[in-house]
Amino acid sequence: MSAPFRLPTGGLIDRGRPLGFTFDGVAMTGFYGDTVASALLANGVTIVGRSLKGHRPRGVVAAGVEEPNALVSVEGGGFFEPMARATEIPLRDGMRVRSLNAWPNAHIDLAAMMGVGSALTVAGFYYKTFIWPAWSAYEWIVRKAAGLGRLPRRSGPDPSLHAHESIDVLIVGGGPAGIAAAETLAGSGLQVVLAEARERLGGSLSRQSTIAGEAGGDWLRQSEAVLERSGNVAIGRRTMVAGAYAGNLFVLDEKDGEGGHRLYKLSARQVVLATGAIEQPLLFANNDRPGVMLADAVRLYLEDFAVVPGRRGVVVTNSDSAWELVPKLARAGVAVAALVDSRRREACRHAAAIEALGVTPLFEATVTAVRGVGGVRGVSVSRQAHPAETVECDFLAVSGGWLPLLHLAAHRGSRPRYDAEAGTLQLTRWPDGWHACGSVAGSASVEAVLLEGAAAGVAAAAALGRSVRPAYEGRARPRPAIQPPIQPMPRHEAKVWVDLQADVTLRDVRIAAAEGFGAPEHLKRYTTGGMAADQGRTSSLNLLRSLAEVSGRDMAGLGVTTFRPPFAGLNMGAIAGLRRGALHAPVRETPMLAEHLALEAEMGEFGGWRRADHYRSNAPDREKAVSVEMAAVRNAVGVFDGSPLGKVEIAGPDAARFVDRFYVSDMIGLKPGHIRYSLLLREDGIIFDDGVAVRLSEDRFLLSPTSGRADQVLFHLERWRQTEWPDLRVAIASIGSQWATLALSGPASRQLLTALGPDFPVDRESFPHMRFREGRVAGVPARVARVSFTGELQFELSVPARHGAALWRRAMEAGRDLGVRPVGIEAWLRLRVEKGYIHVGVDTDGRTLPDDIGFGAIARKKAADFIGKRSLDLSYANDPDRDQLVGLLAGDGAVLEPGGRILAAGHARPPAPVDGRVTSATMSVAAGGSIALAMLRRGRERLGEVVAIQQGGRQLRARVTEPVFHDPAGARLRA
Amino acid sequence: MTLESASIFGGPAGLAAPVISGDGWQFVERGDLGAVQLVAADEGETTLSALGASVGVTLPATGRTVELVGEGGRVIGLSPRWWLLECPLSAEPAWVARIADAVPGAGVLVTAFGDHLPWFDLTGPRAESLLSAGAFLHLGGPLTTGRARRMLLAQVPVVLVRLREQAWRLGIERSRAFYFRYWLAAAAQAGSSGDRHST
Repeated sequence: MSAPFRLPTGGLIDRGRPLGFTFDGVAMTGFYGDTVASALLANGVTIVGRSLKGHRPRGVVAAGVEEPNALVSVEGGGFFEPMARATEIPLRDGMRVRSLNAWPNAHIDLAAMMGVGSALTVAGFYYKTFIWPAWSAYEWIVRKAAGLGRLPRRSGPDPSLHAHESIDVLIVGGGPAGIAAAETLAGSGLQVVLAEARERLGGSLSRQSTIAGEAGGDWLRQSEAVLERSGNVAIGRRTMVAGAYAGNLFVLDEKDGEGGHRLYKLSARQVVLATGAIEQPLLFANNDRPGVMLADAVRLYLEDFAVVPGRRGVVVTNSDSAWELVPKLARAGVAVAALVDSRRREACRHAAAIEALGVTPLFEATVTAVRGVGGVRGVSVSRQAHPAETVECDFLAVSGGWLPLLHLAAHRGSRPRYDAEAGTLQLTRWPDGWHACGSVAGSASVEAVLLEGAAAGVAAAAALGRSVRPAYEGRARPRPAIQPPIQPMPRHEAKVWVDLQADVTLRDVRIAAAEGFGAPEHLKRYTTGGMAADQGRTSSLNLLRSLAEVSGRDMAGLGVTTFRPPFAGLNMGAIAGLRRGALHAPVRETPMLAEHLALEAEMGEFGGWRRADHYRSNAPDREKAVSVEMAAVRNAVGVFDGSPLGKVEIAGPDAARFVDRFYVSDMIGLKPGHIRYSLLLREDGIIFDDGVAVRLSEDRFLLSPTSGRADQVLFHLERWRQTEWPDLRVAIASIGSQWATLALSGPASRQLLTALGPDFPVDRESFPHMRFREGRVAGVPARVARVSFTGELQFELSVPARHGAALWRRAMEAGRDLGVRPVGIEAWLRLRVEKGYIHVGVDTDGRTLPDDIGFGAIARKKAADFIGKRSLDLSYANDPDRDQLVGLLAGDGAVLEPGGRILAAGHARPPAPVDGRVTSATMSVAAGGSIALAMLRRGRERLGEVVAIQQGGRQLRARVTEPVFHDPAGARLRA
Repeated sequence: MTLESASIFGGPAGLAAPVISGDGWQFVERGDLGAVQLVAADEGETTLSALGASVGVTLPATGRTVELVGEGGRVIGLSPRWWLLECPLSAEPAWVARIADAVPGAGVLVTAFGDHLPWFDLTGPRAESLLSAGAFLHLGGPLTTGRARRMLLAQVPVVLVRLREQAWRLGIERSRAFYFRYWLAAAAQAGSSGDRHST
C-alpha cells in the first residue's frame, strides 16, 4: 500500500530509511521519524479503533499525549505495548499494530454492526440495570467488556530500570519557554534536566514561524546546540514527567525509542514549569467522526511528518491560533473549503491576511454537525442571519481554545479555577520553588514566552544563590485584549461527544445533572467523563462547560475535578522496574540456607524469610515429612532453624524501667539470667506481639520479638523512646542477623547440646527452664536460652552467624545416634498448636486482648503502668461476650482446618449467626485426632460443649476443650 | 573442635573475595572486615567523651560523617548517638571489650556487629549509576568521598560509605545480602542498555 497522504517533500522524517509495518494485518509503509499515528494518516487510515462503549468508528485526533482515540496495541520492532497511544509510539520496522475494541478489525467491527452500545450505555446505565438478582451475576461480563487492550499471558520484554537523581533545576517542557529557561541556566554550574515528552524539542513551535528573529527550525537547532555544549543541562527527550510529589520529588518516564523505559525518581530543588497548553475540541453533532482533528495536530503532522489528513478541509475555531493553519494548508496544496469562527470579524487578528489568500472566513458562525460515517464528508455550518449551509470536505480541523497543562502543579495541591475571561483553567498560586512560564502561565505570543522562560531561569538560579543573565531580554508586545471565547452549545445531544475516550455525550451530562450528580466530581464518577487514559486532557473543559449549560450555572462557580498523578498512563513494566519475580520484595535468608537445601528442604516464604517448610529427606510426601518431624521432637530431638527470631538488645541505667513499660508482665523484677514470656500491646490494648525477654544483666535486656514483626517491634520501641520517654537513658539496637539460632527440641535435646561441647553445665538443676546462659559452644561464643515453643525440653542455641552453617552440620552429625531430624516450620507450628501456644497474627487478630487468650490475670496483677493497660479497663475489654481462646477436638473422624466458622449454639448449619472461628489446626498424636485452636464467644464457659463448624461448605462437629492438648502440667518442657 | 567460619557467598572465610562483577563494576565481599555497633544511652558529654577516648577520635556528633581511627578502623556516625566502628574482623572482640570497659555505668550498648552487617565493596565507573538505580544517593546533600549514610537501597537497609570517587563500601544486613546481590546483577543487566537522559 502506498502512502497517499504523504507530501513529496518536507517534514523531519528520514526518507532514506523506509519502514514496513502492518495495521490490523494490512501491510503499510512509513519512514524513520514517523509515529505510528503519522504513518497511519499517511497511509490514509481514517478509522484506527472503536469507541469504548458505543463501538463508534474513531480516528486520530491529536498528535501527542492528549490523543483520546488512537489507542492501539503494538508488538514488534522492540515494542510490546498492549495499549498505547499511536501518537506516542515511534514507528519501527516490522511493527504489528492492531486496533483495540474492534473485531475482526477497526473497519468491520461486529459489535458496531450489532448495534451494541449507545442506547445501552447512557450515564448510570450500569448502576440502574445490573442490580437484579445481584451485581455478581453480571460482574464477569462487565469486567470482560471493560477496558481496552489485552494483558499478555507471557511476561514482557527485559525489565526496565529505575533511577534516582537529585538535581538543582528541573525544567518540564521542551517548548520555547522551557528552552529559554534552559539556555539561561546553561553554563551556570547548576545541574539541570530539561524533560520533554516528545521525540523532539520545540513543543508547539512552528518551524516555519519566526522566533527571536530567526526561522523556527534554525532557532531550535542553535538552541539545542547551546544546551548540548553547556555541560550542565541534560536533555531528556521522550521523557514525560508523570507525577509531582511532596518535597519536589518527581517521577519521569523516559522512553528509549526502542520499546524500553527508564523510570526516574528525581528530586529537584527548583522547578521551571513550561508544559504549555493543549488545544481543546469543540462540541457539535458527530464531533467524534474520523477526520475531525485538533487544528494544531493537523499543523504538526504537516510540518513534522509531511502528512495531510485530507485533500479538502474546513477549519472551525473560536480563537486566533487555528487561523495560522490556513496558509500552511494552502502551501501544502490542501484546499481550505471554509474557515468558520464563532467570533465577530473585529476580534479575529488574522482576518485580513487570510482573506488575502482567497479564503473567505465565516464569522459569527459555527459547525453544527459533521456529515459522514466512517469519515468526514462535509459539515453543516450555521451563521447568524444566514440559512444553514453544507460545506463539503474530507477533514475538519478544530480549535476550541487551550487548556494549560497545570496538572503537575495540581498534583502538589494547587487548585486550578476556571477563568471566564480567558475561557480556560488557570492557577494563581504555584507550589513553592516553582516558576511557571509560557502558555501554561497564560502567555500566548512567542516573544512573551521566550522572555518568561528566561525570567524563570533567572529566578530558579537566584533561588539557589546563583546569578545568571537571561538568555532573552526585552519587552514583549502587549497582548491583544482577551476575547471571551464563544462556545455555542449544540442540539442533538446524544450525538455530541464531550469525552471522546470515555464515550460520554452531552446527553449523559444532562442525565447526570438531572439525577443529582451535578458537582464536577460526581459527574466524573457517574459518567466516567475525565477518567481513563485521557484523564480529562481533551474533555475536562467541555465537561465543565456542558455541566454549566445543562444545569444553568456559572462555569466559574462549579469548581474543577482533582488532577492526580500520573499525568498520563505509564507502562506497567516501567512502574514495576526490577520488582518482579524473585525481586518483587526482599526475602531474607538465614545462614543455614545451603544446609536446608542439602537436606532437600521445601522452601517457602514466611514473614519475609525464606524458610524450610519441611524436609523431603525426612519423607518425600509433605504430610509424612511433617509427621516424621513432629515425632522426632516428641520422641527424640529435632533441630529447627530459628535464626529469623528477632533479637533486640536494650541497655542503659533505665533499661528495666523502659522494658517494663512495654510488657504486660513485670520485667523490673526479672532476675539476671532469667527469661520471661509476655505480650506487647498497642495503646488500645490489642495484642501487638509476643515473645520472651531475657535479662542479661541488671542494665541489659535481650528481647525476642516474633520473626515477622521484629522490625515493627524495634520501631515501636524506638518511637516511644524518642517521642514519649526521651528522659530515659536507654540504648536500643537490633542484632537480629548477628546470631544464627538453632532450636534443639525434644527429650534428647540436652544430650545433643552436651555433645556440642558447651563450656557451662546444662543439667536440669544448673540450667532450668526459662534461664539463659552465655559462654562457648563448639569453641565459639554462644548464647543459650532454655525456652520452649513445642512443649518439649528445648534449648535455643545462638552462635555468630558465620558459624551457623557449621553448627547445623555439627548438630545433625552429633545427633545421628539420638534420632535427630531437621524440622521445618510447618511441623514447628503444629507442635505449638498441640501445646496451646498462640501464634500472634494467626490465633489473634486486630481485636484480641490479653484476657481473650488467658493472659488477663497476669495483666491485671501488674500494678505498674504499661502501654495498653488503661484500655484494658474499658467496657469493651470487659465484655463477657468476647471471643476467648479454646481448644477444639473434632468428632466423627473429621479434620479441622483453619478458617472454619463456629456456628452459634442451637444451629447445625448456615444460615446461622457465627460464634467464633478456627484459627489453627493439626492432627495430634497426643490428642488422638484432629485438634484446633479457636476463638469462641464466651469460650471458657463452654468447655465440653459440642459445637457445629461450617468449613469449606461442610458441617463438622467438635468438642470445646482447654487449648492445651499436650503435657498440660509442663513436665516435659521442665525436664 | 572449633566450628569453622563461612563466608556469605562461598569465598574463603575471613578474606576479601569477589562475588560478582560486570562491565565497569565489581562487587566484593569483605570477609576480612568486622564491625562494632555503639549506641549511647544518652547524648551526654560524659558518655561521648568516654566513647571517643576509647576509640581514639572525637566521635562524629552528627550522622553521615566518617572518622578514621587507628588500627585500620573507621568510625561511621549514623545519628547523634549511634555509630559503627569498622575494623579488621580479628580485632572485633578486642574493640568490644575496650569500648565497654571505657564507658562506665552502662551508658553505651556495645555489640559485635560484623556478622549482622557484613561489608562489601562496589567499585568501578558504573558503581554510582548502579546504586542510584536503588535509591536517591544524594537526597539531603551530596554523598562525597568520606561521607556515609544509612539508607534503603533496593528496599534493603544499608550503610553506605563513599571511599573514593568510584568506590563505595556497603554494610548490608546478612539476611538480605543474597537478595541484594541478585538485585545488583539484575540492575546491571537492565541498565546496560545506556546511560541516563538521551541527548
